[in-house]
Formats: sequence, C-alpha cells, structure tokens
Amino acid sequence: MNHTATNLLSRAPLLLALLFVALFVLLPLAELFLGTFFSDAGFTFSAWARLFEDENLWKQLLASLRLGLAATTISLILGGGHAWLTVRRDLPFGRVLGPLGIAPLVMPPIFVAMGFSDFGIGSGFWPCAWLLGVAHAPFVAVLTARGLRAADGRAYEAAWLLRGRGRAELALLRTISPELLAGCLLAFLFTLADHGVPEFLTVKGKTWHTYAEGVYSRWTRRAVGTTFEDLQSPVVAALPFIAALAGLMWLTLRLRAHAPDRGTVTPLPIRPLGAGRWPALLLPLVYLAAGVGVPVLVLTRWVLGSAQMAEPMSIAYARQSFAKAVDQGMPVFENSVWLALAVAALVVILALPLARLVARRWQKLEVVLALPIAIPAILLGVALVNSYVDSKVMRAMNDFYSGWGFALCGYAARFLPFAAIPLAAMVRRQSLASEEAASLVPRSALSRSLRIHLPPLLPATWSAAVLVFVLALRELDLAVVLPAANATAVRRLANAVHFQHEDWSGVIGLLLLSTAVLVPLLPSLLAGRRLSSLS
Amino acid sequence: MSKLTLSTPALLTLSLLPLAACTSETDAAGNPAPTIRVALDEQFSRKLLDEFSKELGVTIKQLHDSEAAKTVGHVSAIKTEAKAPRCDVFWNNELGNTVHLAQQGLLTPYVSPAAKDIPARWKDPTGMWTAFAARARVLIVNTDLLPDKKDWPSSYRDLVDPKWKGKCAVAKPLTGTTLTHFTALRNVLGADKVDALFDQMESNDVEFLASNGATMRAVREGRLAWAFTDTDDYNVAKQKGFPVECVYPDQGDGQIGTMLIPNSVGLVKNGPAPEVAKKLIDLILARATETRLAAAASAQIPLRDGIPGPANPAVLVPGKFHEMAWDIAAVGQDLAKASTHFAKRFSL
Amino acid sequence: MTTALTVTDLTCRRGEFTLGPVGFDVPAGGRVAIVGPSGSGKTSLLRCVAGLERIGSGTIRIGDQVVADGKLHTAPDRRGLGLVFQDGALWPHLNARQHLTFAAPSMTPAAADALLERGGIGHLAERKPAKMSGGEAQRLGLLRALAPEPAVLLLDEPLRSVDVHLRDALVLLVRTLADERGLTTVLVTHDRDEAFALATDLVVMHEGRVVERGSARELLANPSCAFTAAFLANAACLPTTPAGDRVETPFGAFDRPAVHAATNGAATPSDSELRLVLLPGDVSASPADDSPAEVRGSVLTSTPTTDGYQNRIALGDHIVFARSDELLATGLPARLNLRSTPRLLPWQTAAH
Repeated sequence: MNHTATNLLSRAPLLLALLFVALFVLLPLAELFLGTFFSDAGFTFSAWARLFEDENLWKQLLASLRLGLAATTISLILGGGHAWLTVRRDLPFGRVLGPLGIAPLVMPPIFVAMGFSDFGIGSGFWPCAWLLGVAHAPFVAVLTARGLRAADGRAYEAAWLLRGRGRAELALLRTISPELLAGCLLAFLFTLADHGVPEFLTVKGKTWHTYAEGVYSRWTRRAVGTTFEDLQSPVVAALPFIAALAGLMWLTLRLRAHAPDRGTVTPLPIRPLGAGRWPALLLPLVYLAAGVGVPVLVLTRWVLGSAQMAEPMSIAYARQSFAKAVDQGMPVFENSVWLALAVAALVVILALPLARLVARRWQKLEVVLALPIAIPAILLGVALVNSYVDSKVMRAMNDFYSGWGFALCGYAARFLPFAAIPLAAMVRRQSLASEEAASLVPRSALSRSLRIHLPPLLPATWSAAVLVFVLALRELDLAVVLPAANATAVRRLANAVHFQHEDWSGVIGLLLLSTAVLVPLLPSLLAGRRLSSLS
Repeated sequence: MSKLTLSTPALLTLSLLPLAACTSETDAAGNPAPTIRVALDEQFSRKLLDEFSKELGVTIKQLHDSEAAKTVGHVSAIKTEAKAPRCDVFWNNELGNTVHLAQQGLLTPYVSPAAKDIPARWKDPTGMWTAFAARARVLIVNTDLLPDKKDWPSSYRDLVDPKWKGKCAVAKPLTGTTLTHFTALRNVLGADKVDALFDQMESNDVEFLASNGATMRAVREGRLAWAFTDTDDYNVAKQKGFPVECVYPDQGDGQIGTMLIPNSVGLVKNGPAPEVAKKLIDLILARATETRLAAAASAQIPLRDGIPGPANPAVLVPGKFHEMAWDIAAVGQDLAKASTHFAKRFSL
Repeated sequence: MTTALTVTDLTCRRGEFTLGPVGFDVPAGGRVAIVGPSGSGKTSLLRCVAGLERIGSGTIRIGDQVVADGKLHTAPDRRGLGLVFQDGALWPHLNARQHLTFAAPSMTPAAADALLERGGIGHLAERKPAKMSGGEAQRLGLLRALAPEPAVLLLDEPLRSVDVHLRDALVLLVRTLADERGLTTVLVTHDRDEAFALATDLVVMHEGRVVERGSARELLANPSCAFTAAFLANAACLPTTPAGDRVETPFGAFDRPAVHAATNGAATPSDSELRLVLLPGDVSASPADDSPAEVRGSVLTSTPTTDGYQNRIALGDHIVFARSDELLATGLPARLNLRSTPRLLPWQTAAH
C-alpha cells in the first residue's frame, strides 16, 4: 500500500468519527432548533414568545437551582466524604470500600426512588434532594479520589512542617479543588437534568417543579398538542436549558483541564482516624446502603414476593419469579446486553480519534462533544427521529431507521461524551515529545497509532467503555423513542413495574445490576487488575 | 499484527450498521409485516400479538411504550413519523389520544367486519377508530382502613368531603386515562366547576400523584384510605391479595355515573403495510380477543353483549352500572386545551 | 565538500514568536551546534528541520533533496533524520529492545541487543523506561535515534537531564557512534560546555536570528559581535558613547574601529551599538585606592585559582570577570585595570 493511501486510511477513523458527530449530534439538533422558527406559515418567533410568557419558567428555574444546590451538597458530603475517608484515612476495609464509591452510578435514580418509596420513606423536596444527591455522589467520589491520589505527599508534608497540620489539610483541599469542583458540577448537572425523581416524588402540597419537569411536561403535552407552538414547546423550553447545561459542562471541562498533571508523585501519608476509625465507617455504609443497598434489597424482596399478599415471601415464590422472568424478560435482557456492548465498542472506536483531535489540535471541539450530556435524552431521541424518519438514504439502507443500527447510533451519540472527554484528558497527560519521537520513526501512521499512541490509553479506554456500557444498559428515554431500542430490558422493566409485575421485574433488575457490576470486574477477575483503577 | 487493526473495527462497525437494521418479512401474499404500537400491558399483549403473527403468517413488529410516559411516546412518535409513517396500527389502552390522532388526520378509515357487533357509540362514524374492551374509572378502597362498606366513598364529590381530608388521592390529570377522565368532566360538568373542584381538592389535602399506579399503590399499602384509579390496577392488586375493593362512583339517581374508557384501535394513515394491518385490526377486534382481555389479570370490560365479564364480580360490565355519558369527539378536541390548562394549574 | 543539511531563508511563526529568516549549512559528517539563550529560536529551528513544525518560507534541504519549502512539507519519518529529545521522550510501555525494533522496522531483536550492548545498556534490553536512570534513558533515546541509521542526527539538549558525572560518558558515546557511522550531527543547546563537547562548528542565535557562525575556536578567540563574546566566553559588554572619531567607555576613550572583517560585509555598526568587550583575561582587579581616575566595581565573589584569584565584579549593570593576585573582600570596591587592548564590537551582527 503506498504512503498516501496508508495515510488516508489512518485518518479514516477520525473522519468517520467527525462524520458521526455531524450526522448524529449536530445535524439533528440543528434541525430541531431551526424547526422552532419555521411554522407552516413561515418564519416565526411565536414558539419562543410563548415560552417567555410562561410565568412558571422562572419559578421552575429557581426550583431547579434550589434542588441542584441541595442535592450537590449531599453528593459532596457523601461522595467527597467517602473518597476522603477511603483514600486519605485508615478506614477499616477502605481498600474494598474505596472502589465501591462508583457503585451507585449503576443504579438509575428512579430505581432508587422506587426502592425508597417501597419502604415508605416520604416524599417532597428533601427526600428528592437526598435521592438525587446519593445517585450522583459517585461523580464527586471518583473525582475526589482521583485528585487525592494525584496529590503530592511531599508537598503535603512540607506544608505540614512549615504551617502545621490544619494549614496542610487546607492546602491539600486547594490542590484537589479542581477535581472536587468538577465532581460537584457534574452532580449538579445531572440533578438538574433529572425529571423522573422529582415527578415520582410529587405529592399534594408540592408547590415546586423543576425545569426538567417542566420540559418533560411540555413533552407529554406535545402528544396532544395541535398548534405549532404546542409542538415546539418542549424544544424551545429545553434549548436554553441545554445552553445553560452546556455552559456548566464547559466550565467543568475547563476545571478538569486546569487540574495540574502532577505526574508520578509520592502518595499522601495515610492519617489515622484513631478512636473514630470504626464510627467513621458509618458514612460510606450509609452512602452505599442508600445508593445500592436499599434498591438491591427492594428488588430482592420483589423477587421473593413482597409486592403481593396472596402468599408469604418465599424461595418458592422466587422460583416462580425467575420462571416468569425467563418467559417475559430474557429476550429483552439479551437485547439490552448486546446493545450496551455494541454501544460501548462503537463509542470507544469513535472516541479515541476524537479525543486525540481534541487534546492535540482542536480543543474547542470538546464543547460540541459534551453537548449530548446537556441534552435531555428524550429530546435527543426526538431530534434523531425527526431528522431520519423519512431519510431516503436510511430507507435505501434496508430501513436503517427501524433497526438496531439506528438505535446503536442514537445511544452512541448520547454516550460519546462519557468516553471522548476522559480520553481527551488522558491524551493530554501523555508526553507530546514521545509522540513526536514516534512521528520520526519510519512506520505508517497506523502502526504508530497502534504501538505508541494507543497502549498508554488502554486503561482509560476500558474505564470509559465500562461506563458507557453501564449507562447504555440503564438508558430508558432513548429506548422509548428509538424504534428498535423499544425491545430493551429497562423499557420493559419500567412498564412491567407499572402493571404490578414486580416479581419478575425484580429478577430482570437484579440481572441488569449484576451485569453492570460484573463487566467492570472482568479484568480484575481474569487478569488480577487492581480494582481501584476503575474509579 | 496487521496495520489495519485500528481502523478495521471502525470501518467494519460502521459499514455493518445497515445490516443491523431489521430484516423485513412478508406474508404468503408478499405483503410486508405490519408494525403495531401497543399501549396495553406488554405481558399480555405480546403473547396475543405473537399468536396473531402465527395466524397472519408474518411477524408483527411490536412497539410498546414505557408506561411512565403513558401513551405519550406512541402518540408523539406517530406525530413525528407522520411524514414517513413506520407504524400501521395504533392499539391505545384508552380512547382520548386515538380520537385526537384521528382529528389530526393521522389515522385512516377502516371499518372492520369484526366490529359489527360493537355498539355504535364506541365506533367512529367515519371508521377512523374502533373502541373495545374498556376499563372503568373507579375508586379503590383499602378494606383494612375502611372495613365497613357503609363508610366507603361513593362519588367523585367525596374528594372534597372534609371527612376524607388528607386521606384520598387522584393522579395528576396530565396524561393517560386521568387526562381523558377530567377532560370529559370539563365537558360534562363545565370547566369552571372542574376548576372549583380542584380548588376544593387542594383545600381538602387530596394527594395528586404521578399516575394511577401510584394512587393504587398508596391505597393497597394502606398509606391512604382510597383513591381514583382504573379497574385493571384495582383488579391486579386484588388478585395479589392486597386488602382492596372497588367502588363504581356516582351511581345514584341524578349522579353523573362511572366513566368507561375503552381500548381503541386505528389504522395509521400511509402506514407501510396497510393490507396485513387491516387483518391485524380484525383479529384485535374479534370477540375472542375481547373475551380473553376480560379474562386476563387486567379484567378489561367487554363492550359487546354476550361476552362473559371479568371473573372478579366487583368489575361490572355495561348494563350493570350507570355509565357516565361523554362526548368522545368533544373530548378528543379538548384534550390539548385541557392538558395545558391542568399543567398550568400544577405549575408545569 | 557535500552538504548534509542546508537551511535557506527559513521563517516560521509560532504564536507571537517569529523565527528567521535564518540560513546555515552543515557539511556531510560535520558536527554543528546551534547555540543561544532560551527563546532565541534554536529549538524551533531544530523542530522545523525535523519536520515537527511547518515552515512559513525558505527551504530545508537534506542532502540534495528539498524536504520543506513554503508549500512542500515532507513528513518527519520520511526525512531520514534521527532526533534525540532532551528528556528522552521514551515510550513508557515499551522496553529498550522494543524501542529499537519499533524505531527501525528492519532491525532484528538480535541486532537491537547488539546496539544496546554497543551503547552500554545491553543489560537493560527487557527494561522499561520507568525503571531506568536519567543517563540510561538518554542513552536509549540516543540509540533509538540511531537505530534506523539516519544520515543526520539531531540532538536537542541531550545532556540536560543527565547527571554531571555521567555527561562525559554520554558525550563520548555520541561522538564515537557518530564517528563510526560518519554521521552529520546538529545539536541544539544553550549550554556552552555541551556545545563545545559535541560540536566543532557553532551557529549562534539570538531573537530568532543567526547572529554569527564559525568554528568554535574561531568564535571564542575572535568573535565578530559582542553578543557572541558574552554568550560563549562570559565577556562583559560595556556600553559606549560616540565622541568624534573616538568612543567613550568606562575605561577611557578609544579609536572607533574600521569595519570588522567578521561582520561579513554588513554595514558599519552605529556608534551606539558598539560595546567594549572584556573577556575574562582582559581585566585585572586589585583593592581600590583613592585614585580618582580608577575604574571601580563592587566585588561579588573572589575564588582561588592555580595562579591567583578569579573575581566577579559588578560594574553598573554588568559583571566583569577579572583576575587578581590577592583575595578581594566581597562587597568592597575593587579597582579594575585593562591588561590588554580591549575590543570594540557591535552588540549584534546580522550574519544571516
């Protein structure tokens, strides 16, 4: 193969990735956005005018802000505390508990809400803030732990000798503040975007609704809407929200990028907790119990027959639950697993060249890549359907729109940021000189990519793939909108619980959770890789 | 190792994507397989549709909604796909949204021979939709909290009776059967009266929950004494052994009666497989289907004479109770307005 | 004599900094060092030669082949160059042997081992960079650059991250291997000792321009501009003031010099640019007395040598190196005397 052809081929992954972003992120959103200005009668601002006339808009924004701040504070206490205790202090079982800090992320917040409501735990603002705080605490836990591991123990000790322990701890806090703040911003962002939990916990007397609830409510009204303004209402309501979230995302990315690369450092000295060693266990235990324990317990109880009173809970009932699950849920469970695996693979393939581009040449692209995080999934789904439902190209491709291929692309578009952004951060940490040294070697660009650029990124690539796998496995909104994804387990589960099929839903729920936990553990089980690398 | 290793998976994955699309199937006459959007409980409807697939000799593509979104997902999808419909049949588990779609010109007439014995009031005069197998809007009562039948509520007016202050619930009328119910009430009672009713409900600390499922759960678990729900939710809870009973509200003289909200089916305009779709509608509207729906856990109430009602005697069939009269077309017409009105009421 | 590398009128822009236009050539087998203070553009120049930066204009020719001009940009891997990076720039996931076999596709593992042996790190064939010392890593960086047998070896401050006591061994290794292979070497450094150790010819750069070039010995002995003398020989370059045919200096008035041969025919420097260049041997120091005519400075350090004391004396903003027979007290004034006729040179010439 001649040099030019090889070079072209070496650029193919990047070109394909850029094409993917253009086709499945930018084009649908642009079409959706432009659509808000063009009714059948021509150009109009009427949909936007109606949004700003809505007196509830500002109330909802304020409610979102309040809920976001409260939930983030809880995330900070639980997630930050978990990381601090497991990395920095001699907490009993710290080595095991530390990596588990990410575990609540496996659980969709609405499941946690269901779990809590099963125990009759109340509803309202604070339970809502608590649930969302717990659900998003892993962002704070993981990033704080990462910051603490990267902090230089020698610098800490120098500060300790000069200014005393209190000042040294403060200095350490300042050192890890970029990671800490980035974690909090992510928690804030995800809290703002969640409409399910606040809606689930609605009660009489609830005088507040979040902005995300407002968007979702407009989306439900869109179904029966008749006017141009009705139909565009959820889109125009979501767009300023997307812009605000994208702005926050950008800020988060900047913070992460400004976190100094501290390279190989002497680890921080582990400080003893003394008499508080065992009592300190309470925080991680409460955190993990709330984030994982309660939902798992509820699912297990469902399997055993807690959601019926015709017979007592028993193993025999559990057997029936499993039998029903095999009958009702196995095909969709398999679909979910295969789809999540395919999404993880595609996302990684797309993210790697994009991450290199962002890290080395075109940093501003990162904001575009982050966009799908800021967009409510349901809106991204609507945008995709809107753009491709009558695409002649898609029809020519064996009706690509109706098949798994389209679902795969939709999911990949949604979760691409979760791989591209951390991988870009990882590329930035690699030595540019080492890459330049490789560029002088008389080898093809492909060979250099494979032998020099890729290997140092493999651990981060694996982590990103696992995260995307887990998120794809629990995705509900896109599953409702994209035709083929309709046959996935979480969509089926949401329906089955509504129709009081808690017994076999519990089985499928536990299977999903086990899969989400098992896949990240594979390298540890097969190759003895350290667990902490996951976090 | 091949130099192509990195790009190969990318190229292969992307080039294979089209192949991942569903392969279409055809029946014996070469007609393509129909696609149906179903809002009925999947556990039941999937098996039924699988059997229909065998009868038609073609695999029916089934799309089920998340009940969290009620029928919103289906209706929105049909609207979004209007420029290139992918679905042939819409099987709604209520009627309001189907009428709305028909009024928006998204359905096409089909008068099924299988529906000839369905009462005329449950069929669109132009053949856009046909209703069958209904649910009733009932009050679910916790019998542990209210063991004496005499104490049970009997009317929607009980929602505003101080006796029940903080002890009863209704779902927010934003989607699903509750939206259809309260839109119908706006027509029957007048919009102002319904607004006044909501004001009084607020004063009476009625809990406005996310769905009928949520109201049923609150009652079956004894958190509340009673609530509005649908007969299917009540019947499943009853079957599962919870201490619940149901009351058909407003059965007295001069009262408005209990609302029946049937399933409905319509042929999507310009769907890709109209021929097989019509046969599918015939099967859905067959007496046998309504019979099976009545016998299922969801205890759907047959609209036709001569079909045995649900096994649970508490679930009454037409003729055994006073039905609320409501103008189906008017409700379909008012759905959007009512939905926006109620959303505002709930600061949404 | 054939030239291995020719750079003509090269310009390159990186952010606010503009390099060039610069030009120089290196004969085949030559050893050239590009020297200059930080920010002078020497590393940018090296990166342009290596192909890691695109040039704005001018040409780079390697052997007979043009590898870059305003439009053409030959990829780094197709220029036949080796580059030794200042911090090794090794690949953390590859061991030493893999570094060489990857760098030279035709090299067998046995040949790689032999080259590692030749470079004195044969025992590290299986080891990854994280387990190597700075010196070992830099040896591996050198061997990696040599593995594909380049015609020209570029070195970017190769001794910077190496301990002082290991530098000689590395210098010896570079020179031996370069000689064995008849390699042309181009070194970039701001360290005079490194330049003198590894090169015979120097290209002196300042503010993106070449100010002077020639053999190391010639430039040391007879610099054509004050900047070269200051950079290479620690000369103090004192300002002067024109006064008719003469120029005033702190050490008195001197005749204005004719056009200096080494300016390569450049225009006569303006008087204000002339500097009084004082090399370390040009001045002696003694304790100050009350003589009004004497030039006085303040003693910064006074260190013993085999034949007296070497002193650093502050004269205004300048530091003069001066010899003395006796130890001078730090902080006290000292008298400075010229020991030979000083040079009056322009601060900078445009050698390009």
